[in-house]
Parts: sequence; C-alpha cells; structure tokens
Amino acid sequence: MSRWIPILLALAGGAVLALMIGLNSQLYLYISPLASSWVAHGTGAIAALAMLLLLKRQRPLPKSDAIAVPWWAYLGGVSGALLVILAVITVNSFLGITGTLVLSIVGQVSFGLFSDQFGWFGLSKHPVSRARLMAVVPILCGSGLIVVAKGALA
Amino acid sequence: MMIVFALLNGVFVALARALNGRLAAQKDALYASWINHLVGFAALSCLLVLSGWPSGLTDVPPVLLFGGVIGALYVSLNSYIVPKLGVTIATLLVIAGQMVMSVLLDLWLGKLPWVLNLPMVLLIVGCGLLVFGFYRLLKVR
Repeated sequence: MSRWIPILLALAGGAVLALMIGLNSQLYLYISPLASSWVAHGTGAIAALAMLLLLKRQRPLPKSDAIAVPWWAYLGGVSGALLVILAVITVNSFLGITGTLVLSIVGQVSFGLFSDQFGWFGLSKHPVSRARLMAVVPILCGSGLIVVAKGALA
Repeated sequence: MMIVFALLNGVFVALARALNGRLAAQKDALYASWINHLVGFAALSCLLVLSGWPSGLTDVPPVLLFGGVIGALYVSLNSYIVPKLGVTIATLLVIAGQMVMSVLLDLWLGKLPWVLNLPMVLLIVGCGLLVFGFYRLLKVR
C-alpha cells in the first residue's frame, strides 16, 4: 500500500498549511500583508536551507545530468509571491475570506485538471476518468461546504 | 473582476505547486522548497523596494517567525507529493487536510460553537464528503 504514504503526506501538508495560515495571519496585525509574506519567505528560505544541509549528509542531491532542469521550474516562488497581492485585493472586496477561498479552490482544481490532462510542466499525465471524478467531486464539494459553513459560523 | 482575481489566485497556488513539484521530481523536495522561498523572497524584496520599506518590523514577536519555518515544511511536502499523485489529487488532499485542520484549530481555540444549527450540519456533511472522497481515491489507479 505504497499509495497511502503520499496521500497521508498530502493531508499532513494541508494540516501544516492551516497552521501556517494561522501563524501568518497574526503577522498581519503587526505589518502589511506584503511585508508579512516577505518575512515568511525569508525565514522559510533559511529553514529550508537548514533542513537541506542537515539531511544532505544522509541523502545527497541527485545530479540528474541527463536532462537539464528547465529554467521555468525555478519560478514557483514568483507565483507564490504574487499570490499575496491577489489575496489581499479579493479578501478586502465583497468576496471576503469565504468567497476568496471557494473561488481559489475552484481555480486550483481547474488548473490541476488541465495540467494533469495534458501532462503540463513535464509532469506525468493523469487524464480525467470516472474513477478520478468520483474522488475529485466529493472532496471538492466537501471542502466547499466546510468553507461556507465556517464562514456562516464565524 | 474580483471573481477573476480570486480564481487567478487559485491558479497561482496550483502553478506554484506544479512548478515546485517539477523541480522536486528532478532534484529534491527540500531543494525545491529552498528555491521557492529564495526566489519568492527576492521577488517580494523588489516589490517592497517599489512600495517603500515596511514599518513595524521590530514589533513582530519572534514566535511569529515560525510561520515561515512551517511554510518551508509545507512546500517540501507539496513538492514531494505532486510528482507521485499528480497536481489535481495533490491539490485536493492538501485542501482537505487544510479544512480538517482548520476546523480542529477553530474547535480548539473555541471559535466554533458546539451547537447543532444549519451551518454546523453543513460542516459535518462536508467532513463526511471528504471521507467518502478519500475512500474513492484509494480505488483510483
């Protein structure tokens, strides 16, 4: 059951994300969202480098000389940095946190479906199938319901 | 316009996830996390230079700097799973994990009332749908 491991790690990733959002939203009380993201990226870079160096002894980086890594694969951070600006604009509009989250989830999943369908970015193809939709639709609806319900309870 | 911005926000989240996953597929998840934060830090530094130096930096309690540390872990986990599960499933599971954790955090912090009203029922139905989705996911090749 090797499939369990990435699934559990993905769920853990989401849990960690919720913790991070909780902590970073406290930062907004002191500095602007842009500055908060800047601080978070700075400390994140230091932490990632520290973890990389600590674990490097046991597990050297693969050289992968065969195919060079394309230059655009290094630009994930730019996309991550631009997010903040869009999020600040939409959260402060009529959409609020709930609307922003729901539309963001829709955007993420739509992008994922396209990317997987055609194998964009040199990642392996995962075409849409009935079995995949049977998993995608309930998780998407469940997440949407939780966002809306939490928005109503808050 | 705002709706387009919010959708774009999601596209950017997924784009960052896909690009970091691509980098991790060839290199290493921690390496991808480091590059992501370094490049993001550089991009935000440029924006801050344009918008003016932030004030109030020295008032920030040091505990809050751990948000970035947790972020480094988050990007590593993301980058590790994307080449294995694909962008869609990775995205959905991360969102599901985030939802469950945010509900637990809110319950723990006392932000969610223990009452059985309509939103609470929706919340429970939502969690049930997540569990059903996870079960179906195991049947996907």
